[in-house]
This record gives sequence, structure tokens and C-alpha cells, in this order.
Amino acid sequence: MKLTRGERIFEAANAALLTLVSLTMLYPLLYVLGLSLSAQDEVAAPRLLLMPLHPTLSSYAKIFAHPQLFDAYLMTIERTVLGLAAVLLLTSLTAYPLSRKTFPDRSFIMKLFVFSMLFNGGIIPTYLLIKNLGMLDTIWALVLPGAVTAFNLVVIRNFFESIPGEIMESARMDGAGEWRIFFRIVLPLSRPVLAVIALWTGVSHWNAWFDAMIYMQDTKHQVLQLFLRRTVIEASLSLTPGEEMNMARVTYTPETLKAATVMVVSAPILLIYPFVQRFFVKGILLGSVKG
Amino acid sequence: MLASKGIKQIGKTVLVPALLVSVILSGCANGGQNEESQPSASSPSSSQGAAPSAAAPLEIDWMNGAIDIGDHSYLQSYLEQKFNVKLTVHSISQADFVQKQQILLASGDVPDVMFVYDPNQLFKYASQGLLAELPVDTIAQYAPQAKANLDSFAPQAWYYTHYNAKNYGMPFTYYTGQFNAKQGWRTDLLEKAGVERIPETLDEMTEAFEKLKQIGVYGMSTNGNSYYYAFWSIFGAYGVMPTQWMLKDGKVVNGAVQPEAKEALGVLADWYAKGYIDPEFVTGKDLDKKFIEGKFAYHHSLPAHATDDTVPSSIISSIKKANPDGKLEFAPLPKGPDGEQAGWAWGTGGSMIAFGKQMENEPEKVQKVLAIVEALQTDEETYFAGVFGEQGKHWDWVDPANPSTGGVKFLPPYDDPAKAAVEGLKSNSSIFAGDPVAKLYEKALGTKQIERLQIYNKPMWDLFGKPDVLPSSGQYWGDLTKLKTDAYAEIVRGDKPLDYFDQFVEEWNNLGGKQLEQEANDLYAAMNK
Amino acid sequence: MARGDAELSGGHGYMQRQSAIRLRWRAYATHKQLVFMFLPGFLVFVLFSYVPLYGILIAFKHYQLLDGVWRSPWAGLEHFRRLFAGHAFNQALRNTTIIAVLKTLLTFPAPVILALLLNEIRFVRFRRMVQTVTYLPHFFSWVILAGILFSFLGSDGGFNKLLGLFGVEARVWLIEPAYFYAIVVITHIWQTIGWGSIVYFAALASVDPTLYEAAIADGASRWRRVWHISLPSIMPTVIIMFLLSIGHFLSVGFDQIYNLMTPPTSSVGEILDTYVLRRLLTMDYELGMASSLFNSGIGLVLVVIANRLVKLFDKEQGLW
Repeated sequence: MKLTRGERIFEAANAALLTLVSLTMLYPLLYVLGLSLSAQDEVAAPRLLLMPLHPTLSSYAKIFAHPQLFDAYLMTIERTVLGLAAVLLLTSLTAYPLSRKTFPDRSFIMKLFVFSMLFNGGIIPTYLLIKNLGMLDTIWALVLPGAVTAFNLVVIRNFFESIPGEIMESARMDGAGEWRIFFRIVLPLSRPVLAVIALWTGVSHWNAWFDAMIYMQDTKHQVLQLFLRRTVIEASLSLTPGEEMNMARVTYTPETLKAATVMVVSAPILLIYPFVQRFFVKGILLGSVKG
Repeated sequence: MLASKGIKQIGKTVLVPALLVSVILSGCANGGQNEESQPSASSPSSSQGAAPSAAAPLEIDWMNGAIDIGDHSYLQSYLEQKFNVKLTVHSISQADFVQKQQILLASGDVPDVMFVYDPNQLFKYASQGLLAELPVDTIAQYAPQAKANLDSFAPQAWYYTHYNAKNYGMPFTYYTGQFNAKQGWRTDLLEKAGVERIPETLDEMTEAFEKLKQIGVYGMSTNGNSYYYAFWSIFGAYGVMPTQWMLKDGKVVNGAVQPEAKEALGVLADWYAKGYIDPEFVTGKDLDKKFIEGKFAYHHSLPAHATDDTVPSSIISSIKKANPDGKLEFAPLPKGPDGEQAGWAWGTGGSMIAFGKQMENEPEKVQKVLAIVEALQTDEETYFAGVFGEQGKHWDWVDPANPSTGGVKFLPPYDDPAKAAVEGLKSNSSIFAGDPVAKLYEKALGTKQIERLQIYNKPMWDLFGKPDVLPSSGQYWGDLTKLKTDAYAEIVRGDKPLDYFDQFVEEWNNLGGKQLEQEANDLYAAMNK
Repeated sequence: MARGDAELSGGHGYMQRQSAIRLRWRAYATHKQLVFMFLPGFLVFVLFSYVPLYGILIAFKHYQLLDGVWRSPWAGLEHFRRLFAGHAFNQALRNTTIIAVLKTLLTFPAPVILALLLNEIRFVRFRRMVQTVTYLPHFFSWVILAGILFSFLGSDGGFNKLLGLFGVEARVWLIEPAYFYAIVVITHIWQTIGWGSIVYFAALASVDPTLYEAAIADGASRWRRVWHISLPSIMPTVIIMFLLSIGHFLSVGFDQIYNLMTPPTSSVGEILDTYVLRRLLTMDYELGMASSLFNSGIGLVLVVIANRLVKLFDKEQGLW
């Protein structure tokens, strides 16, 4: 393909701009990574390109020796996997009928969903509900409340609506039932949007801590983000104002350890994205239909 | 609401099958967490210290202080054996404690006893009828030594638990609240600037700052984003500590609006205009880092171990690492024109415990709790076993030949605070009973540490311990501290002239400052009848 | 509108409630399979989104923890009065609105532009790398980002060193009120752009490649292809994302503002969320709920208006 001169200039400028933007976005990661590899007393020392002169894994060693890290990892993985399954299955099942123009009271139901996005009853009624359902200290308290949310539902329904009606119509002609159409045609065609929802859900489950903090009593049921919160936030948000002036305090969380905790907690979820990207390949939708 | 026993029971029966499901799903071998249905972790029949008793152990739901305690902690079994009780302990980290406590209370799960961190929380709980009254006489009867200690060491702490002239809890003492943070000078920078002696008065500081400016170093920095931290040592030199309530000519007034504060602001504004103060003081970020890097020379809020180069995380260790010639020395608090000196301190009153309303009908539990607190605070053996654990296993003396100098240290692996916490252990202070009497605290700390804390100590603390314990504090205090933080920063930076202070005072009074002052005088009069 | 509704509102003169119910029942019965698909998720949704909704009443009550929401005494609009009458409420509302408008105008379109620009990159490896990198800042909390920003924009931070090359005088950028909004918006875009564009990447992935091929064959310039193919293809997604975000118009990012604000910038940085937070010293659930209701009410009005506008242009679009 031949490019005009203007197009070549555009391509070069575009690539340059995106490279520059990307570099600024690498900065926080490199900053935290560099800090996490520094020795405690070397934080203020001069460094080369954000990396310490004498990198050390001592902060990581300390975190991995933490008695509760392993349980927290398990819990977070468990809630993420179950949460993903619940959201993908329940939300898409609920969204599909709503994408059909003939479904009764469709407009009213959509209004119900949107309304819920704007209004909520606060922590206490939700806590009481979870408690009365007997879900305190169970994984379901973390998985079910977010299983069907308006946001995900609207996005999925919107995508379903964009699938050409003829495809489903012809399947129906061939005698396929709704379940068959849903699982064999609609879901496979919706891979990009399901990938997006999966990413959103996975990341939000991975990053969630508030629900676990409230609903989980047992130390074994704490999630990974609570770790991060304890080490990173604690110092800046201590209960007694002026904890920094507690004179006998010798042990505090050094910056290096905080940074290493950020890395340990966030790395797995950071690494997931490249895998999700495979679902964004051009032409999946029509390619698979025509093929 | 849902506090009734019936609903609790229903909750439990639903809970158990649901738990089983989760246990299976999580593949957790010992995921059972229904404390009451479990046999005691370790129950050897003979327990040291307590008389063997045939009575069934008292069950107490005790919301202890924030800690990530494990399921079968050393501390829980120690206390259960020693006092013949069955405890429900709570594992909540510091950052989440208040929120979790409030949700528990709001959902009707009021613990029998609970740790309360801030007087305002206690007042709210009491005003909602969640707490049982705890007459001071009851404390005197069942925890006599602890009560006597409070009266002598931290009488102001009683302000924390009195609500509408009734007492709703037992305050604890806060040993280290009697010390102010330390003043430190980068003496290497002073030498470089040609200042031979550490400045002791504000005038000497002005001179030193001018010389430091010549070598491109700021005199000082602070956290101007904090209502209490900003420049406190300079205000102390004028005998006030902004936002603390103080007695002046027999009346209670707030330090933030006194003419002495205006004088101090005059000095600070002058310093700022001359370029002696780090212009980034309003962000309050990276103070230690900038000090270590030698960006400014005088730090007014250093921890007691800052000059100890044997501690790897101390300021001096970091300074030496960045610059082998770096030096740091502690100094006395700066003296004002009338020779006054003072440093901000939080005072000797600390957090407290309060009893759930249901305890009004269970005096024996209240008595038991008070007895446990009494022992943990005043009995040497119980204190050491209940805070540090077993000698030789969890802790030992730093210098066994001379225990009184070095004090206590945790032994590996418990020297990692996270590992000690699993067993319920935390340096010096108990998660059930707070700080012990001074004598025991000092024994654990060791004379070397105490000397370090006492150096250059001229603490000034609020008449009521905390400044926001007045009836209308919740309504006004947030606005007032913001007003103060902003106005002080504006005056120091020269955004507003010094005389803006008078306008600030007027606004302070109109925004509720006057009302709080009246309440402060009433409260003071009522408690000192 | 659903067919069932249309028939009902058609209004047969003597139609009774009985037959209305029968009609609706028949409408559901003909979609039996769909109803079974729909119900499980819908019930979960109602349980967790609607059952706790009675908590809203707290805003109109003197909430007593022991009595619970229902039995607490009524307070009328007292908490709203407290909310609106507090010191500097107007200032907080004004700042919030300014930041909200700026973020709606500037932050919202940014991910769309990024997705379109990236779509023009033909080198797949590079495109994926940029996608991955731009989504990184989303994973750092504002506590951490603020720390990094304060040092980068500080008096001897990287930004001043960079500007120093062009002879610009060093400033402490973050504490100057004049630059506060610019910094807030730019850093917000910077933090959210990659994450926000993911949904548009997915939308672009479903564009039929033959459309581009046909356009190239017709000699359409690259600009025309973006304007006439790429943009219209993702427009439904853009509209939906806009409608979903406009409901949270007044939530302008508490964590960001709270962590970036300092005394000199507090007159421009004070927002409704920080204003309310200062008043919550003593578990003031009522005020918290009143403020959240105020936000939701504004959000509802905006969503309804925006949805109606969308429907004016295209009846098929919109949230309901």
C-alpha cells in the first residue's frame, strides 16, 4: 500500500506522540519498582534512572515471609475467579433478553437498572442484608453483591443489540431455541465485550478491599489489597493523629517495604492484560460469522 | 433492632451450612471460625497463677485494640487460662478499626467490651444508648491501682469517658504522650555555613538561617498541611500551642487565636519572606527525605532514635549513607523572647474501653474485665506475659546481665511485628488494657531509652488531652482546623498580611470557636468543682 | 418501548385491569425461555441493589443505631439544611461543578481519541505495547501517585529541570491555585486514559474490515476513514459510556483531590466530598446520606436529560 506524504508525517507524529505518552506512564511503575529494590537506608541515595545502585531483594524477602500473605493470595484469587464466573454468566444471561426488542417491560426494567446505579442505601443496610442471609465470613459476601450491576449489564446489552438480527433470525428458522442461540451464536460473537467485562471485573475484584474488610472476620479470609492498605495507607492515615510523633515508635513501615508490597500485590493483575488483548483482534465478529 | 437473641440464633444456624460451603470451596483445612463451637485451643487442666475453679468460664466478647491476631494466639489462651474466661477476640487492623467498629455497632452486634480510640466515638456511642454506664466507683472497687494511677498520672483522661456528667468507660494512660518530638540540627550544614554553636533562641536561629541561606540551604520546613504539626516549636517559644485549649488568667482559651500566636506568625512570615523557610512546607511531603538530603537544617519533629546510628532505619543512618560527613544533633527547644520553650505532646491520656449496654445486667463480667485490666496494667508478671509473651521464647532482655538498662526485645521470629501480632503481642502496650503503670512501662523500655525520651523535654498538651472533646466539637471542629491551617499558611507565605490574623480570630469565633470556648469553660468548671 | 407496553397504553375503551394482567402474562409466556434466562440475575440484582435501598431514609431521620432505620424519628429536611447551610458550601459546590465540567469535556473524550489514534498504528506489537503501558497508572492509588507528583512537580523535581532547559523559572506547581485545575485534569486524564480506552479497543475490534478495504478502494483518505468508519462504529459505545458516566457528574474524584490539595489551593480545591468529610467527625451518617442523595439527584436529572437528547437523534440508542 502506498502512503501519501501527509500520511507518512501523520504516522510518524502519531507514533512519536504515543511513545512519549507511554513513557510518562511507565514512570510510576519504574519509580515504585526502583524503590522496592532499594535498601532501607539507601532511599535518599543518588540513583541511576530510578534504579538503585545496589539493588536488593530484602524487602521482598520480608513480605514473602509474612504469615498471612499466602492466605490472602488464595482468597483474592478465589474471589476473582468466582466473581468473574458469576458476572459473566449472570449478567450476560440477564442482558440477553433485555437486548431483544420484543421482551416485555424492557424499558421499565432498564430504568430499574439505571436507577440503582445512582442510588444506594449505604453500608449499614447492605451489611444487615449480608448478615441476615448468613453470608458473613463467606466468599459469597464478596461475589454475589456485584454479580449483576447496571454498568456491566448496560454495556453487554448494548453490544448484544449491535449483533445483526439476521444471524439470530436464520438460526431461529433452523429451529434453534433461545438457549442454543445464546450459547452458540451470541456469546461467541461477543468475545471482545466479554473480554472487556472480564477485565473490568477481574481487576475490580483484585483491587477490592472494603467489602472484605467489612464482611470477613477471620484473618484467613483477608484479601491481598488489605495488605497493601495496611502497609501503604496505615502510615498516612493513622488513627491517633500524630502517631508520627509517638516517641517510642521505632518500627514503622519503610518506603521500600511499601513499594515492594505494591509490586507483590499488583504484579499479577498487571500481567494479565496482554492476554486479554488477544480478544481485541480485528475482525473477530464478522470473520467468525462469515467463516 | 437486631440485637435480640432470637435473631442472633437464626443468624448462626444459617451461618454454619454457608460456612461449610465456603470451607469446601476454599479448600481450607481449618476454616471453621465459629469461635464458640470450638473447643479451647489448649486447655491443660492446671493453670499457673489462677486458683483452679470449678465454675464454667465466663464468655466475654472483647473487641480488643487493632491487631492482626491469629486464630489460636498465645495471648488468648494465656488470658483464658489465667482468668478462667472464654474470649471472643477481634482481628482488625488499625486502618480499618473505627469503620468496622461502627458497622458492628450499627448492625446490633455490640461487643461486651470494646476498645475505643477516640473520645468522640465514645460520646457518639453513649449518646446512641449503646454503652453501659460505668461509675468511677466501680472502677475504684475492681481496678483500684489502675484507677489510682489514672488519677495521678493522667487525670485529664477522665474527660474522654465522661458524657453528660456520667462516666461510660475506663480511660487508659499513654506513657509516651508525655514527651515532645525532638529538635534536630544538621550540624554539618551549620559548620559549613559558619555557625559554630547550635542556635538556642529565635534570634540565634534567625542569624543561623541567614548564614545557611548563603550556602543554599533552607533553615527549616514543616508540615503546613496539618493543623497541629505546622511550626509547633516556634509557637511553643511564645508559650502557646495552636488548637490546644489552655488556661490563661483562670479562663480556658484556645491557643490558635491568642496574640502570642500572632507574634510567632510575625517571625515566621519574616523568615519566609527572607527565604529561610522551604516554600514547599505547605505540602508537608518528604520532610525526612529533604532533611536527609540536606535541603534544610532544622527539623522540629524527630523521633527519639533519630540520632542512633545502630538503628538502620534511623535518620542518621540514612544521612550517613547519602553523605558520610553528615551530622545530626539533638538540641533544646528554641527559646522565645521571654525564654519560653514548649513542644507539642498528646498528653498522658490514651485510648479507652467501654462496655456494651447489655453489660448493665452482667456485673460479674464487668468486674472480670476490670480485674483483667488491673492485672495487665499493674501486676508485673501479668504485664510481661500478657504483652511480651514468654521470656526466652517470645522475648528476652536486651542485656540479660543488666536488665534495667536495655529493656525488652522480641526474639526472632517475633521481632517481626507481623509475627508477634499473630500471637497477640505488641511492644509495650496491651491490646486489651493499653499502657501499664509508668513503673512497668519503664522497666520494659529500659533506662537507655527513657533517657533518650527525656532529653530536651518540655511538653505542652491540651487541657482536655485532645482538643476536640467538647459537646459541639463534631459540628465545628473540622471547619475550625481547616480555617486555622489555611489562615496560618497564608500569613506565613505572605499571601495575607500579619493583621489578617485579627480577621481570622473573628471568623474563628463566628464559626463556632466562641461556642466551643464557652463549652470548654463549662466542662473545665464542671470537672474541677 | 416494548410491545406489551404499547398495547396497554393503546387504551381499549373498556379494558379492565384483569385483561391488562392477562395481556402482560401472555407477553411473558411467549418469551418463556427468555424469562428463565433473565430471572436468576435479575433476582440477585434486586436483592442486592433494591433491598438495602431503604437506607436512603437515613437522610430524613434522626438515626438511632439501636432503633434501626425504620423506627428512628423523622427529621424532615433538617440534614439537607445542615448540608447546604454549612460554612463555604457554595464554594465547594462551585469548585465541584467547575472540575466536573472540565472532566466531562476533557477527560471523557480522551480515551476515545487514544483508541482512534492507536487504531491507526499498523505495527501490531507497538500498538499492544502502548495499550499495555497506558493502562498501568490505573493500578496505582492516589496516595502513591500524589507522592510521585509532588516530587516531580516540586521545586527541584523533574518538571522544573525540564522547563529549566528552556529558561523557565522553577515553581512549586502544585501549590499554585492558578494551575490547580489544569494539573487535576491532566493527571486525571493521564491516570484513566488507557483504562478507559479498553472498551473502545473492543468496539473497534468488531468493525468489519471489508468496510476499510472498500473505502481504500474508493480512494478515501485516512482522515475520512477515521471520520466515516471508525468513529461511527464506536459511537454507540461512546454514547453508552457517556450516559453511564454522567450520572456520577458530581463525584469528581475524592481520592485525587484530597491527596493533591494543600492550604494554598484549598480555596479552589475544596469539593463537596472533602466538605462533607470534614463534618463527619462523629459518625454523622445522616449528613453523609443527605449529601449522597444530593449527588444522586443531580445525577438522575442529568441522565434523564442526556438520555432524552440521545433519543432525539436516534431512537435506537440510549439506556432505556
